[in-house]
Amino acid sequence: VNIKIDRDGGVVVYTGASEIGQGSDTMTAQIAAEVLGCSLPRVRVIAADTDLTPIDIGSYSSRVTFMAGNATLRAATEVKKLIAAAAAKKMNCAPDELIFREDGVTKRNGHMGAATRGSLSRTESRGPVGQSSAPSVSGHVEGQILRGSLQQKRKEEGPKDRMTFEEAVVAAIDFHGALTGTGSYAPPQEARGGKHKGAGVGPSPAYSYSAQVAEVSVDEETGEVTVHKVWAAHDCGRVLNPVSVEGQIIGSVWMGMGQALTEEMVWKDGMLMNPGLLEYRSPSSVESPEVELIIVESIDPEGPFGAKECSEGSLAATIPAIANAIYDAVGVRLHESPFTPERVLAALRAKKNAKALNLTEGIDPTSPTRFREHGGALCFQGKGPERHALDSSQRQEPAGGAD
Amino acid sequence: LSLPDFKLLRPRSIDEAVRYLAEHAGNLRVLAGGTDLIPSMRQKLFEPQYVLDLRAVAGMRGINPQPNGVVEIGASTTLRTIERSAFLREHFPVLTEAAATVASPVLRNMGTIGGNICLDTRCLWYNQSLTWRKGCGFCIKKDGDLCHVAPGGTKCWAVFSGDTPPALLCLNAEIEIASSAGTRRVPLHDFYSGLGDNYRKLQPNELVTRVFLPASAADYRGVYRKLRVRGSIDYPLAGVAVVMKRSNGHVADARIAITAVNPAPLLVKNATELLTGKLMEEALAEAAGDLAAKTAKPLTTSALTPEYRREMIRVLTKRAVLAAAAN
Repeated sequence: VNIKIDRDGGVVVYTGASEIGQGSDTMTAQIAAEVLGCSLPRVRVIAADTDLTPIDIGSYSSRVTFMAGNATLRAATEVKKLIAAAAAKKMNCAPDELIFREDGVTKRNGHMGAATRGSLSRTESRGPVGQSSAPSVSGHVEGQILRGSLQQKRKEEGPKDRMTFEEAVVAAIDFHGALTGTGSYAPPQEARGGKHKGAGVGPSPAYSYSAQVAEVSVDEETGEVTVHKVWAAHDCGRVLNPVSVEGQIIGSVWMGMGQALTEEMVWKDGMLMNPGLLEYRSPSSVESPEVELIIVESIDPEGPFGAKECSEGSLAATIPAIANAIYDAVGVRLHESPFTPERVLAALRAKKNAKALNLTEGIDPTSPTRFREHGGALCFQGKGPERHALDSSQRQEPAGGAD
Repeated sequence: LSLPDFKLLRPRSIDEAVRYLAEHAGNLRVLAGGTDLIPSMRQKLFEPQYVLDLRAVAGMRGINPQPNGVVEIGASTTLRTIERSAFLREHFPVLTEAAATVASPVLRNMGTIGGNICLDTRCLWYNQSLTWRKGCGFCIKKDGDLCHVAPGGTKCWAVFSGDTPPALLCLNAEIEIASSAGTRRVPLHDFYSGLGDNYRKLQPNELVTRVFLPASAADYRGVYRKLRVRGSIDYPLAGVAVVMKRSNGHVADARIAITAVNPAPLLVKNATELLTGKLMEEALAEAAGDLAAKTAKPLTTSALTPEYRREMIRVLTKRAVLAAAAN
C-alpha cells in the first residue's frame, strides 16, 4: 500500500486489494483516516489498478482486512511519522507528544489535552464528525490558501499547540519534500502455508469463530427444505465497520444456504450440465431467510486495530447448521450436499422403509460412495442413427487437438 | 453470447403480420415478449433472417368477456395482466394461479400468454450454448441426429415447460390461429403434437392470435401446483392444474392436467371419470395422483431425477385435488 498526501490535505491510498463488494475500499480508507486522524472524506482510495497500485494477491482466504489492512496501517504510520516530525518542530515539542485526531494535530496537554484517550479511538465508523467539532479550517487561513501568506501567518503566530491537518501536511511537505509512505504485510513465518505443492497461498494468520442456529421445515412428502430463520454469531475481532460486518454475515448465510440446498455442478462424461445461472440455482429473494446477527468482538494481537476477518467464517457454519436442523426435524443425516429435495426424500423413504424408488440415480445420500452424474448419455456407442459430422464420437484426432 | 444478426419487422396489424409470415415463412421467428426467444437466439438455437415483433400489433392485447359468456384473451396479453385480472381470478382462478407462478415478476411483465402457449420445449442437452452443444455432438432437436436423453432412440423428448397451458387445458380453451389464408380455431389439446422437436401443430406461416375460454368452464374451483427448486425464476420441473365443481359435497366435474414431464402438456385421461360423483377423501385424491403419475413420462431432460419428478406429480396432484375440494 502506498499513501501520498498533497498540499491540500487530500490523502490518496493506492492499494492492490480488490473491492468485490465486501467493502475493502471503505476499510482501507477508514484505517488510513484513523491513523492520520483526518476525516474520511479526505481519503481517496485507488484500488486494484495494476498500472498504479502495489501488488496484492487477491480477495480470498479471508485475508484482505487482515493483510491489506495491516499494510495500510503501516503505510499510514510511516506518513504520520513524517508529519509528526515537521509538526513537532513547529509546535516546539517532541513528535511523540503529538496527537492526530479530529482533522488536526494537537500537542498533548494542549488545549485539546483533556481528550487524551489516544489517537486510535474508534472514530472510524463515525466518519467526518471531526470536521464539525474542530476549529474550522477557513478560520485559520481566512480563506487564503496561498503558501506564502500561510507561512507569513504562521511566522506571525509563532509556536502553538494545535495545527489543522492541512497546516501539518504543508509543514511536512516544506520540511521533507513530497509526502509518501509505503507499507506491506506478510504473515508470520509459522502462519504461512509452506513450500510444498498444494500449500496454502496467503492464508490469514487469524482465525475467526462463528456459531449458527437454523430453523428449517421439511416437507415429508416432497423432501423440500425451507429455511425460516438463521441466528448467526460471528467473532470477527475488532469491528471496523459494523454495517459491513452485518452485510457480510447476512451474505455468508445466504451463500451457505445456496450451497446447502440448491447449488450443485452436475456433470455428465465431463460436460457441465448446468453452466448457466438458470440451471445452477442460487437462492432467490423468495428463499432468503430472516437472519438475526450477533457480532462478537475480540481483539486480535496481530490484526489491524484488533480486527480479524468477516467473510468465510460465517459461511462455514451455515451448511452444518442446516444439515443438523434437517436431522433434528425428520431424523435423516445426509452426507451429500446440496440437500436437494430428491436426496432428502430418498433418505426419508429409506428410513420409513417405503417402497424403493430410484430417486437419486442409485446413490445413497446418507453414505454416498461416488459422485452422482446426470442421466442420459454423451456418446451412444451402440447401434443408432447416423452421427453428425461434428459429433465428438466421430472425431478422429484426440479431443481438443483441432481447437 | 451475442445475438445473431437479423432484420426486425414491426407490423401494426394482424393482416400485416401474417403477410410478413407468408413472405418469409421458415426464415422468421415471432417475438412477443422475447423472454424465451432472446436467450435461445443468443445460444444460436435460432438464427432467423427476420424477427417479427408483435408488440406494435393492434388488437392483440386484453381480456374481453363477450355477451355469450366466452372470454377472449389476446395472445399478446402479458402474464402480469392475467395474474392481476380480478375478473379472471373470480371466474377462472386456475389460470391466474398458474400465470402467477411463471418465472419472476420481471419476466411476467414481458412474457405473454401466447408466448407461454407456444413456449419452445426444453432439455438440458438442448438449451445450451453453441460451443456446449458442439461438445456433446448436438442432438435431434437441433443440428444433430441422436438423443442423449433416450440413447439409441430417434424421438426427441424435450419437455414442454409452460405453466399456463395445463390450466388452459383444464378450462377446455381454444386458440385462434391466423394465416394469410384466413383464421382457424383449434382446441388447445389438439395444438400440441406430443413430439419434443416439432412440438406444436403450427405451420410456419401461421400465428396464434387469441385464446378463448368457453362459458362452460367458468366458475370452477382451480388449483395449480408447481415443482421447482427455487421459489422464483425457475421453469416448472413438474406442474399440475386441477379444476373442480362440486355439488352437495360430491365432485360434480373435475379435470386434471400436467406439464413439464412430457413433450406436451396433457390432460390426465379418465381423471374426470375417476372423480365425478365421488365424495372427496384422501384415498380418492391418492388414486388421482397415481393416475396422473402414470400419464407422466419424465426423462433426464431437466434438473432433479426423473423418478423424483414422477413421484412429485403424484404428490402434487393429490394435494391439488384436495385443495380444490377444500377451497
